Amino acid sequence: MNKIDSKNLLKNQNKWIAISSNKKAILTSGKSIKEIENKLTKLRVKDAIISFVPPANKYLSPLLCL
Amino acid sequence: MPVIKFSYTPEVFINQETGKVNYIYRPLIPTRLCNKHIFSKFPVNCLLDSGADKNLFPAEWGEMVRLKIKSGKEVTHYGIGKKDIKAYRHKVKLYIGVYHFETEADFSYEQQFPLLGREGFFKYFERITFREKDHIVTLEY
Repeated sequence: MNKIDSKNLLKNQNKWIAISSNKKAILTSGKSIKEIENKLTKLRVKDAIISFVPPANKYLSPLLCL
Repeated sequence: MPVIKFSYTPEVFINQETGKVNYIYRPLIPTRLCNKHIFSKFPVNCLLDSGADKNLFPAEWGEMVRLKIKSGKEVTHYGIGKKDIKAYRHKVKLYIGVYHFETEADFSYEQQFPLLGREGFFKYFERITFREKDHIVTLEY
């Protein structure tokens, strides 16, 4: 399984990142999805996945809903 | 029956007891959002959350497909830490690869991590299987 280097992920906690199509690299990062899309457009990237990097020192327990 | 398969995504994690850096594997589904004919340009990883009733997305994502967030029906989400958050419900289409369906999603200015819930996402599949040992999730439709 492809993994992004943990040091790169740690630098981008609480940020949005764009992951390459082979899931090995971070192409760019930013504070919002819009910022990421704008950066990807400038880089002329056509294939990427946008993802939020949660804080690494906390467990993820999303909200329930009503 | 068509099957879509996703490997869990390895995300960085610091063990709270040992301080060691490792990876934790989460079932994230790359999802494209569509409002009428306006598509999000790139898929966004959303957490497949069997504990969530509804889809819950950051409001910013909805704004990018020109949803007028606050024109949606106001709803309340409740969960961890007895916290309530306000969200607004909209009809949207979700695209998972080539499979797509119309559903509802709640958009909140207080939520960052996109969540896929049972009524808004799971119910559009015949079966969803979490294969924990292999770190694979399969979606049959």
